[in-house]
Amino acid sequence: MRGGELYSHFGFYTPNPAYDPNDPDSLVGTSTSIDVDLGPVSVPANNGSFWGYLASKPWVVSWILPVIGPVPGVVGVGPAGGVAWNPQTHNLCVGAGLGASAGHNAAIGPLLTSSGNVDSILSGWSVSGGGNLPFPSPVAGLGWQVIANSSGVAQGPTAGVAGLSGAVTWSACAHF
Amino acid sequence: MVLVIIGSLATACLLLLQGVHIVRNGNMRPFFEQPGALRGSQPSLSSGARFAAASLYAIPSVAIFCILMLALFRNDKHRLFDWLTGHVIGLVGGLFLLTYGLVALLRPDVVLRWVGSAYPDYDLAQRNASIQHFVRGLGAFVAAFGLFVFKSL
Repeated sequence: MRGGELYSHFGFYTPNPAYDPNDPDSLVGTSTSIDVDLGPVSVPANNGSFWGYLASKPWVVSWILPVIGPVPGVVGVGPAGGVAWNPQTHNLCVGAGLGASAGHNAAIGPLLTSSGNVDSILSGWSVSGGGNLPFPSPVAGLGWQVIANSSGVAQGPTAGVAGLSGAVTWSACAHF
Repeated sequence: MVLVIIGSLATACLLLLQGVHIVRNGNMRPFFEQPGALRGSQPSLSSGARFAAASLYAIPSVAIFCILMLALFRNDKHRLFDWLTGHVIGLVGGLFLLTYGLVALLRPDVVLRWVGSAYPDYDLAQRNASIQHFVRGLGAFVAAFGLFVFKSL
């Protein structure tokens, strides 16, 4: 590969019948080759590393403000929303809706798998749910999130406030 | 199929937990009943009755495990392991949500303690029934979401 182009190397070798091993100027043979340009090649963004793999996945930041409920601000029902960015398709989605939470008011994480087109799952109406443990830290514990609509289910790990939540949101997406 | 297998495993685990709880505590209360509610309750079963009651839960639990193991060995194991390898992330996610949801549904005080550790300045009043009902509802939703993940695999 040279300069973003993929080449195929073809060639053949012709031996010299008059080759003299005692003569340093005598040629063993000649080789002939050509390079065929097979077209441009895109280099994978993840470059094989773990962090590159994560960076190539869609990322979601979600939040809930439980303003009404048993403990306003911590446990209750209220506006919810999220922002998602898909680096592979350059789609940015912003959503808002209604959610319920016990803790778990903010979380961030990549969507590692999806059963359908992830951009379709992230756009329009969707139901989401997730939970975070208080480990390693209560305010940034590890957990999991799932986003689902009629296009499929997408899910992945999260870091966020300990607790659990569920939300129904509508998202608009734009291509950048 | 995944839903049936996971549902069977979850049922077997819950039955086994209840059997162990009866043997350890000597009463028929549910294993997920909060420690505060058990205060003052004494073991009410004799040792013979305790093991008889425990076996009512343990035997079906072991039977479920045996049926699943038999089904595993009688069918193509390689196909199963190939499938598991291809769906490991979804399985981990579904199990996490199902377990977390069941904990919130059965022991909301545990989840409230976790939440309270992130909000030390709030008095979450873990004995407040409305908060516990709310957490139970959320737990049911998250557990159902976990099962939905299995269905979608």
